[in-house]
Amino acid sequence: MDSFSIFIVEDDQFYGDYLNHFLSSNPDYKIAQFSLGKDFIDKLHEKPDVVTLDYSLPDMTGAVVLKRIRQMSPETQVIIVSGQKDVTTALDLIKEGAYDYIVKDQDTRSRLWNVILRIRENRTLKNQVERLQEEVVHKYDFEKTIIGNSQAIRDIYSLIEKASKTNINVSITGETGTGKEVVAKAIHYNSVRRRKPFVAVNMTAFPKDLLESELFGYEKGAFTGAFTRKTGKFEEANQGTLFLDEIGDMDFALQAKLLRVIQEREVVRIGGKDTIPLDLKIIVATHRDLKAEVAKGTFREDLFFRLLGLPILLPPLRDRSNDILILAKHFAEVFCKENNMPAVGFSTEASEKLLRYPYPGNIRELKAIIDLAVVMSNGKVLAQDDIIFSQMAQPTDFLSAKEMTLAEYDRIIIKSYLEKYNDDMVLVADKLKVGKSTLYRMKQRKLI
Amino acid sequence: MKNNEERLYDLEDLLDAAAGDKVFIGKMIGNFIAETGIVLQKISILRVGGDYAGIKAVLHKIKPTMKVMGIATVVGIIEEIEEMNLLAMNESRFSELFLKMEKTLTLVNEELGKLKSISG
Repeated sequence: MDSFSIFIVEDDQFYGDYLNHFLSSNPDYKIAQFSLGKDFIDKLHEKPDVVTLDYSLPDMTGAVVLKRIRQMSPETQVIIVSGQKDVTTALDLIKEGAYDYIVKDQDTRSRLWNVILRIRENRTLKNQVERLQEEVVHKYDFEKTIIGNSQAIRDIYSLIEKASKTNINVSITGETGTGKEVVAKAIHYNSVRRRKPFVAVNMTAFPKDLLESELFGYEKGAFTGAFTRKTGKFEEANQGTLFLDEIGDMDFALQAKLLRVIQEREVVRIGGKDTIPLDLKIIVATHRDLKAEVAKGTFREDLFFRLLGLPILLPPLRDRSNDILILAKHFAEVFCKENNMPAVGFSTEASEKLLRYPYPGNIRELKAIIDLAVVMSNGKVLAQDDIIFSQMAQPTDFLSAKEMTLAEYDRIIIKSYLEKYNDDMVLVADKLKVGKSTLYRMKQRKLI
Repeated sequence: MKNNEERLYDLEDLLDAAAGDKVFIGKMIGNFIAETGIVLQKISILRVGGDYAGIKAVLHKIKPTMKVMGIATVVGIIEEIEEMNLLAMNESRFSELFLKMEKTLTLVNEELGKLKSISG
C-alpha cells in the first residue's frame, strides 16, 4: 500500500503526542503534528490524506479550519476529535464536510483507528476506480479504436475531434455494424466529460411504455408495479453523455417528450413533480435516413433539427475496401491476444478472398469472420478455406462492392464456382458455359 | 484492589497506547507534570479576575488528558464545574472543588515524579 499522510491538529501538547504515538504504530502512516491552526494551514498545500482536528484551537475554531481545508484540499478527509459532546456542533461540522466526529474519551483510539482504516480503504478503492477510468479513456483513444487508413476514416477522426471539443449534439448515421457506438464512445472518452457516465440506450430494445420509464425514470406509485423510485437514463447520464441508438425507431409520441427534455434541459420523473436539471451531451445514431423519415411523417421535423447537431456519416466497409485488410489484421491480433494464441498471418489467397466479399454486416461481420478464421486455422497462417462467409451476402451485394474490371469479376465468379464444385474444372466450365481450355489457361497463369 | 474513585491515577490507557515504549511514557509523564503546573496557575489567575468562562474553557481542554492519565477524581470535578451555571456561580462550591483538584494534582505529580525518577 502507498504511504498515507495524517496531520494532527491539536493544541493540547499532551493529547497531540498521545494520538501521534498511537497512530505511528502503523509504519505506513506519515504523521505531522500542529498546535496552531495557522501553522497547519501553512502546510495544507501538502494535501494530507486525513486531518484529525481539535474543535477549539487558540487561534481559530475548528469550523474555520474545516472551511479552509475544504477550499484548499477537498480530497482531504477531516475527523473532528473534540472534547465537545454537543450533538448540534457535530452535525453542523459533518454538514460542512467533516468525515466523522469523535469525542475524546476512553474509546477515542479504537474509533479513530477504525475510521482512518475505513478512509484508507475508500481511498484505495477510489484510486482503483480512477485507474480503471484512465484505462477506459486510454481504450477509447479514437485512433486506436477506429482502425483504418482510408480518407473516409481520416475524415471521421477529424469529425470526432470536433465533436469532442464542444457540447454540440451529434448524429451518427451508418449501416448496421459500421461502429456507431464505438464512435459515440470515442467522442465521450475524448471529451471533458470523460470521467462522467456514458449511458447507451437502444430504442429498439424496449417496448414503447417501458422505454419511457427507462428514459425518464419514475416515482414510487407512479403506476401499478412502481414499488420504488427509479432513476431514468437521462438522470444516470447527467454530467456525462447519453447515447440514443436507433433513434429513427423511436415512437412518435415519445419523440415529443424527448424534444421537450432537449429543449428545456430538464427532466421530470413519471408521476413526479420535481424538475431535475440536466447537463449532458446527446449523441444519437440510426441506420435510417432520418430526412426521409421526416418526409414520410414518422419522425418529427423539430426533433430532427434539434438532434442533427454535428452529423457523422459512417461509410459501409465495402466503400473503404482499403481498410479491410488493416481491420482484418487488427481483429486477428486482438483475438489471438485475448485467447493467448500466437499471432497469425494471412495467406495471399485468404487476403484476396477477404477483399472480394461485400460485407453486408460491415465491420461487425468482418470481426466475426476473422475470429472464426483464427479458430479454424492451423495457428500460423490463415488460409483461403479458413475464411468462411455467412450466407447473408446476396448477389446484389456482390455488385455493390468495390468497382472492378470485367476481367476481375470473371476471376471472382470462376473462383467462386471452383470453390463450390471442389475445383472440378470440367463441371465449372459446363456450368459457366466457357471452354475448359480457357479455365486451364487461367489456372496456368495463376489468374484463378 | 481499590476502585477507580479511590485510585489517584490509572496509567492503563497511556501504557496501552505506548505499547511498551518506555521513553514515550517518560516523556508523557514529564509533559503532564509540566502542563498541570501551568494549568493550575492559569486557573488561579482567571479566578482572581472572576473569569469563570475562561476557567471552564481551560478545564475543558485538559479533561481528555486527565482521562488518559486515569485521574477520575479530577475528571469528576471538571464535569461538575462544566455543569455549573456561569450566571449564578456557587463560589464556595467552586472553591471547594478547585482546592480538591489542586490537592489531587499535586499528589499525582509527586507520585508521578517519583515514578519518573525511578524509571529514569
